[in-house]
Amino acid sequence: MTTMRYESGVFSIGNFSSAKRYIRQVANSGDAIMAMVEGPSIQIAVASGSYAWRFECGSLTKTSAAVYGTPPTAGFATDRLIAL
Amino acid sequence: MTFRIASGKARLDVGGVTRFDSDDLLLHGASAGLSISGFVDIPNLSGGSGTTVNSTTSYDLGAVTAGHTQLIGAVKFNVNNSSVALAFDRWHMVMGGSIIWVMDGDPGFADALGDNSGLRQFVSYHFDISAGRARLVRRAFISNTPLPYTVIAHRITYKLRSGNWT
Repeated sequence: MTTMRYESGVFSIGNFSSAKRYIRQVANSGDAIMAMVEGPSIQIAVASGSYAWRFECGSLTKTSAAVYGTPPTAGFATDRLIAL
Repeated sequence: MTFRIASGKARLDVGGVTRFDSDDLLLHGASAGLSISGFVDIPNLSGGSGTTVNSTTSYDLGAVTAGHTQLIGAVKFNVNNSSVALAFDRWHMVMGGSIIWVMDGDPGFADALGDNSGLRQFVSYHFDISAGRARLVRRAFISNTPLPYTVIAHRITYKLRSGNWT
């Protein structure tokens, strides 16, 4: 039988305890402290030849002189907003 | 500490920090999911001196439990050639995202120091799940530099678990 307790400032039910910290994907983005990424988080895109490239990290880009900065397409990386 | 149940949800705050929100998603299946372990031997990758390398290569690592979306675990890179590279032999946590193996500038000239400017060589890896299969994906770029450029062969050893957020 699962017991729910609230004593000494700790709430617990089953294996869950407020004294522990769990990795969780937050419902409220304001609770997030980091992002866990599915797929690549850093990439390089080559526009042409060997000189026109774009370094991509999320919505940030660093470009060669031959390429203007364009954010990576949607789906480049899937961020999971995480709290502990 | 406050624990509120309202509008069909429960929320627990401790010291102003949310410890639990019933709308949060937890990563699970990590221990019950299939263990995915093994290694991939990556051969020499050569470019430069007239040849541009611009490739994305997927290495299949096997099936994952249906519905799983995330791989976590540990990875180790080995270069078994101490004359050209550090034998990098330690485990690292993988919680998603890219692992940069090479990020280098212009190699300059054979008999003089170059300025190492720009981004001319780039190799990164990431693990992901695609169509129910775990993959190691390599993104490689070697520009047409004046000199030959070789990314030395290496072995990538991995111990992964899959999971999903629900």
